[in-house]
Amino acid sequence: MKKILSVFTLASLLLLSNASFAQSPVDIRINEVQVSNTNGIEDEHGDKCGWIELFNTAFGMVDVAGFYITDDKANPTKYMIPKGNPATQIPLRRYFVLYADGNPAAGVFHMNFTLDGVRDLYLYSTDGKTLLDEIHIPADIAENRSYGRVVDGRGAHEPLNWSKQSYRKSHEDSLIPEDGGFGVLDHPTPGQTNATKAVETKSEKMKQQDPYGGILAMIAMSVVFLCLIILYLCFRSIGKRAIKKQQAEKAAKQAPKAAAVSANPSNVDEEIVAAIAIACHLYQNGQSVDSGIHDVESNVLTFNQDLLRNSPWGARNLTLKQDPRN
Amino acid sequence: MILKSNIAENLYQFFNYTGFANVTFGHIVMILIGLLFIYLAIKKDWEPLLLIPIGFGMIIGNIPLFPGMQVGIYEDGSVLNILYQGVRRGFYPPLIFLGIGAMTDFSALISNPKLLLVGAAAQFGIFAAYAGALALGFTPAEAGAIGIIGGADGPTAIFLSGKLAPDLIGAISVSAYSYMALVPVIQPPIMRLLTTKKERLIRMAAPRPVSQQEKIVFPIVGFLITAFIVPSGIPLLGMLFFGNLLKESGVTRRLAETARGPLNDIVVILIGVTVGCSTQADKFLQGSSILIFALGAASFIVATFCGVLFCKILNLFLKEGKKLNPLIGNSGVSAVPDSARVSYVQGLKYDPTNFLLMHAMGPNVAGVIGSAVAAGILLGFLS
Repeated sequence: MKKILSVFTLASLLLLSNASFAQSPVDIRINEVQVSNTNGIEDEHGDKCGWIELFNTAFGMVDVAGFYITDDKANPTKYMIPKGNPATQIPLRRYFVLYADGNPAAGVFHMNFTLDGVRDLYLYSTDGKTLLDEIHIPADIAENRSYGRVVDGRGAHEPLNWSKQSYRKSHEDSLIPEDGGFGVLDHPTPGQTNATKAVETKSEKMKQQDPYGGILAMIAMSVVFLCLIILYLCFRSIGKRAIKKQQAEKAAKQAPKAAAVSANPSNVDEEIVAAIAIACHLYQNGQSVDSGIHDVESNVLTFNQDLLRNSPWGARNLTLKQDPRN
Repeated sequence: MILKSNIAENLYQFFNYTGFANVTFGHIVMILIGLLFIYLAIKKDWEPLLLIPIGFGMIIGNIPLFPGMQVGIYEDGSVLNILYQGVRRGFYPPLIFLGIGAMTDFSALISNPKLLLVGAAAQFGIFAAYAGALALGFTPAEAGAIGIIGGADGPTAIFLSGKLAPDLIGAISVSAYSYMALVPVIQPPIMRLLTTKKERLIRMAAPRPVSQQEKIVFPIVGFLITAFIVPSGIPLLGMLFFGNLLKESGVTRRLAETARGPLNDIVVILIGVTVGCSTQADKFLQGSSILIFALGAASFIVATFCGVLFCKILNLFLKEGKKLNPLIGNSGVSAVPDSARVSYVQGLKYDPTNFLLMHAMGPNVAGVIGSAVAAGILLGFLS
């Protein structure tokens, strides 16, 4: 029992440790990068420079303050995203842009290195050790083009180091192109989605795939039945066990009584004996009121409620609470 | 002279703010519908707990307003708008499901789990209405929201329409609640049509007593199974089974009483009145609302039809003595407990000693689970 308990506790702790990353650093991706920018986004001073876009894949806010970005794996803490600025709190499914102009004095989110000649970029968590994401930029990207994920947040160059990430990668792989989901983007989109083509909603897709509703009806009814059939099977077996248990308990209760009765037939239930005795007594001494064997006693003073003769004003029993406990 | 003209001007300005200056024919119609709801609730006793808040809400929502006074339900930041967010964002329905869970006894279902399948069969109404809505030109998301009327579950209908088709919330929820109130009128003819006299007289074995342990296990296992298969139904299923666990655990009596009592009452008041308010004439009196009402009626009819028919099909495979009375098939439509009461009343009509209420409660509560699962599926596919 102790072994089972300790295994259970350990498993719970493992699960909890994994779950604690929900909507956390693990959800941040390097979504898009532009190395050479001559006619695109401008910083607050009107200057054009390279930039890095992060994307929050979670459905909750994630704060990237204290995260590290580097182009050198040997120096993972090369640039730290400043703390204390509310802009680092990336809302769900939103973007965050950092200017890679090598001039941190130019503003809060200006990095201390440029992207000229950079081929690899790494994103580290606040501990400076946990690698969250990486991107490998091809050398031959034309000017004013960007490189990044074709579908926001999806795909990975390398398997990431947390079990949850590897699950996510495998889960998402079915949704991304075979090349890992990265590509040269014709239209740089800092702070916006990389998907420049109109995206169909689920409802629109469904209208094309299933214009009469037959497929959805069939799938949905199958799922409803599946759910309730599993519940049925589950509770049929639980019910059978419960019936067996009830029968066993009943049998266990009745066994000593039956044994006692069979050992000594005169050892019957006391209530039955009492009932037989009263019946015999009544029978032998007569059954009418006149015979005196009944529950109305003579010469005994009793209180008899008689409301008809008194007005409610005079009837004290109506003005007082009958039973203080009620 | 100037004073007179100032007074006249101010009076004219005041008049422009009044309901009389802004009233339209639509407002009058909606106020009359609201009054009709109140009349039906008081005189006919049709779902008074819902029809009175909805009916009065209709009157509130259709008082003609001068726009921009921050009092209308569709004006950001108004009191009614804030209360309406519970409908719009869907946090009232799960709270109602919490109350339903805390007041529902699943014993009938646990003692005879095959009744779960009857609850599943009645969900056909949802998808018949979905197909019908598509054929009438609604988008799949709107069709999904309309289809859920066939689940005969007001909170589920509000929850799903809030997510899939917020513009249709008013028409969908009023339609769902109206037909739930009309269950005693809609269902009996279909039940009579589909059953023979011999079938109506079938006596079902008394349900076995269910142990406390089984009652505690049911919400936990029920939730795990349904939620793992349809995670999008978690808000409804989670609260339903959680409420039931509060009731059955035996150690959270106070919480269960709050969930099924005061909390449920508060949410019913808020949901009823805000849904009523949302039926402003300009949004409600449209051709689409009439279509929604027609589809709602069709979905109830199909759901009842399928429930009764499924009982008859199931009887082909059941031994004598274990057969189901098909009069309980209509209860798969999850209008709790009205559809079960219809089964009971119809059963008594043909045999005054055949009490079907307990048996009918099985498919009835299974219908609640089934419609929540169906809503989760529609949400997963269409949102």
